[in-house]
Amino acid sequence: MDIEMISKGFQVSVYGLSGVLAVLALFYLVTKIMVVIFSGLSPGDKKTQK
Amino acid sequence: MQELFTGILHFELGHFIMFLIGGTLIYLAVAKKYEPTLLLPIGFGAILANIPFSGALGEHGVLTILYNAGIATELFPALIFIAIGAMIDFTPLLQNPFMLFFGAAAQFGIFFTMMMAVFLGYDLKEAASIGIIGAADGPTSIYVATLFADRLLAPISVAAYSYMSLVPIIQPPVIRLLTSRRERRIHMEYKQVEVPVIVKILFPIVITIIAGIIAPISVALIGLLMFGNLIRECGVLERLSKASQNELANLVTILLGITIGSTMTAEQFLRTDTLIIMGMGLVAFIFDTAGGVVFAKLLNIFLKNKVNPMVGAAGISAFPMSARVIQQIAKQEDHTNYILMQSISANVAGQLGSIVAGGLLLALVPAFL
Repeated sequence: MDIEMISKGFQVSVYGLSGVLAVLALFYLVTKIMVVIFSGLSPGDKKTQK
Repeated sequence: MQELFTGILHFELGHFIMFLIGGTLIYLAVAKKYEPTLLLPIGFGAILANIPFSGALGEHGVLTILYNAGIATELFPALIFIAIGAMIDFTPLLQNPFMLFFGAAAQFGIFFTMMMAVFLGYDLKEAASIGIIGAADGPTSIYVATLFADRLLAPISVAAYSYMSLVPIIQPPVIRLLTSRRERRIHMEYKQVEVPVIVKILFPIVITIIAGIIAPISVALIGLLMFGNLIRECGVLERLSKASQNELANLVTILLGITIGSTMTAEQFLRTDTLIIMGMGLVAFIFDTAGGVVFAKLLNIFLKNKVNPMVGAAGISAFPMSARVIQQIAKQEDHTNYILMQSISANVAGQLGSIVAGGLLLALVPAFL
């Protein structure tokens, strides 16, 4: 078993998964900001469903 | 005279087995309707590739020319991303952007499977290509495999598309195993928010810029997906949007499928690698589902308004199948429970998450080699 390869694989996995989470968190923030800014400019309907 | 019998004289058991495999893929496509747009061309391509001395292959063979022009250059998967982008409606996600987190959590299977592949002795590039089956996103799998491990392209593509069509069979047992009945009956409030058109137009542009700056190599993936989405949402390119969703998607799918099928030669496909990849593809889908569900359960520890953990499982990219499966289970548990919209939001987030995961793998793996 190639320990060096396993160590690299582990690092790619950790960086990769946390990277996906970080990038999507960034998308979340940006989307939230855009929705808040532009919904404020053109108020839309808000309906709540259960 | 002997020329006439060349094919018969060189026909081997491997060719016959590949005919059976090609036939099975065609059967699954036609009779079971499992991803027919891809599995049928792949199945037929496999038959074409395994006829001894097939004129479709070789230096001047049409399928070799298509492979060199469309797969080796990553052109076909890239074009497919434009078509998919034009098909995706991000509105449910923009109404409920919190679901983006589920799109991230459900990529867990990719990295778990990648680690498994490393343990089994595959190098990092091959392991990443096998793990990306868990993206539940055919074009992303093909794109990454083409760049990192083209010798494994055929089994990876077949595994990705086969398991995508098997989502209704793979996900429910995993979800039931990880959730209690009480959790599966959790109702979720749904806010129907009007999304301004300007946000729908800005979204693909902003996302491309962010993803591109973080991982420039992902621009070919996410940039073209978002370009397709911009065509859809801008409101002035109706004709191009429809052409992307129909003509472009159909044409490239035909070429992509039959070209991938043509790589399924007996020598390349009838190996232990193929069985291992098929097995690990299943593991990837199982752990994607588990990742999403467990993440939702963890969130519930902190959230006041609980999330139905099944929605986490919809964070995979198989759209809209996964969302439908989740709603179906919710309805079985409590016929008044309606979580389809939340599941669709998570599912759309999964489409984004899988491409981001693919892009990050493309950026990270060479950095560690």
